[in-house]
Amino acid sequence: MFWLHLRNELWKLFGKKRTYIGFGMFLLAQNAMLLAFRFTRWQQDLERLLEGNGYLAREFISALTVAVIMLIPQILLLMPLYTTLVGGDLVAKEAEDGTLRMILSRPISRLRLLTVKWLAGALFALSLVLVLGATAVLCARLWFPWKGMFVFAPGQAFAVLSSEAGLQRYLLAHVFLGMNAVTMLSLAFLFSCFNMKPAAATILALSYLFVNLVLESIPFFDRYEVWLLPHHFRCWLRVFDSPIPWWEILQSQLVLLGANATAFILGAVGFQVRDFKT
Amino acid sequence: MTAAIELHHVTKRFGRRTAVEDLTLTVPIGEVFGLLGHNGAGKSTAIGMMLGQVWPTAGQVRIHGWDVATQRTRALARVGAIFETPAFYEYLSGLRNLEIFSSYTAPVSQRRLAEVLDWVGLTGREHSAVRTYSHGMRARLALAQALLPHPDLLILDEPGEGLDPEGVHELRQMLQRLHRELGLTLLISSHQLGEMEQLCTRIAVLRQGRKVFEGPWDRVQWAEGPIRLEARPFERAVAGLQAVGLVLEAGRDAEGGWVRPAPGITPDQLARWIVEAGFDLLELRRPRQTLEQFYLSLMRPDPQSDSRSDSREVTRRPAAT
Repeated sequence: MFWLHLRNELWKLFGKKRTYIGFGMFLLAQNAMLLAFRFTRWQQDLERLLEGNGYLAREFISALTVAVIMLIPQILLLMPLYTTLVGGDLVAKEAEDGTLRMILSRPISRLRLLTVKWLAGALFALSLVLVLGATAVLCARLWFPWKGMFVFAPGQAFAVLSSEAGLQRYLLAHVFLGMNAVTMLSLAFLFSCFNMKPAAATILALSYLFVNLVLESIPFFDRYEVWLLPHHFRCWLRVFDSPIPWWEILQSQLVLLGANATAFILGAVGFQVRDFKT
Repeated sequence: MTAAIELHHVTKRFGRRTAVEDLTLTVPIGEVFGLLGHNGAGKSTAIGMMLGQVWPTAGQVRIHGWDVATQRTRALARVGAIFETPAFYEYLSGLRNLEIFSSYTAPVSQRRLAEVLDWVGLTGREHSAVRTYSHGMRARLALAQALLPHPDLLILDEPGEGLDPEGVHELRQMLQRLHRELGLTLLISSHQLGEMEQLCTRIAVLRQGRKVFEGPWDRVQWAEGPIRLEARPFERAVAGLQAVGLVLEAGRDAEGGWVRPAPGITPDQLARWIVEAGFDLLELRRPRQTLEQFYLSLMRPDPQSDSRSDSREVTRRPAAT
């Protein structure tokens, strides 16, 4: 029955057109960025940076390099937007439409219902990240050769890797990107479990992220950055370090796992005590 | 035998507002039970508590003997529900909606799906998206989703709202058929008193969150009170009835003669005495009141008694004629 309920949630989720907005927007954004990279000074700036550090630019301006360049802003801005959009809908939209009341007249426990909803949402978040990663590298490959990988994120990562090592790290990074996406979805899901509109749940979750980003940019909060989510969200970039700082990555993953569990438990408590009435 | 639904001293407060107060209600198995009351009387809250959607502040709700709060899955295992505005996943087909909703009770076979679709007359449209359905088709789909898990009990909250007269008629016939052919217990909350009168075998009336009446409808509609009597000669017949103690008082009004029988005396006994005494009996009938008349009489403020604390088995108000 659990799998049947999960299948239902996936039908509901992937039957909606708005679920696909994120996938479509990622494709659009990636192509826009590719054009910008190819036809503006962006590519030349990167080449100068590489050559300034003693590397041959033509060996590292590759599909993998450009894919990561495209991922960084999309993961920071677009991914939270589309995961919270779906996360905010998971419970609140059904409550608003009245279908939740129909389900709750059935012999299913509220906890079971929430669990399958969250799982379906998590599967959506993971699929979004996988599609994002795959399309980024495929689109980049259309314009750029398959060569070595160069990763540069100011203050966070600087790595030069062979294409094989680069691909491995790129794939590994998606495991942690997946965790980021699920965490943002869980935040929106938490708010969605309370009596509010779906848009309000999405906005609250995004606000939480943006407040974290603002706090992080204030020097006073440097010493408290481990308490802020974006610090842990960036651990996907650490996989490009050599050697990979596994302990730091594990710590961040545990923090994100804790954030997910807390969001789910708080949401479940709120949902459990709620009255559902027209 | 365990009742289909039992509410024991159930109270529900939303903040300072009391939606339902000390409600005790029993819906026996096999009845068509009408839950009546004005808007805001507490009907939907009471139904919400029966279905485990609203948590009671106090009291206990049982369905088929199972506590809804603590044994929800067992209590609701054989229950189907239909709400005032049935909500569906508009972007999915009717069939997919049915599969989704029914799976929360138990998986159903394609054969059962086809059977129920046929029953409600949606065969041929099951693959269309629900957003293309008319209001009447949605009502039928709502009935289908309620019937799929083979329920013993159907709970309907304002099921006829928004339907045209034909739709209301169709729905009534379908519910009567369900009761007659499948033996389902029905609990229906509605404002359509004419429809309820034709459907219900038992009713309860709520006013401001409290029950003001619960009882079988057939005992209510043939209300206690004056009996219409036309006998020849009227005065002599009445005098005779009074002399033998069968009648307490009698009189005539614009509609004709009436008598008030002594306690425990039935119209049959009066008829037998009149005929045996050699009078001509032209008419003897207990006036029938409509559900609307009865309902409005309950809703009228009664300065003689505080009806909020008066939960009677059968009304003692005289029937309107």
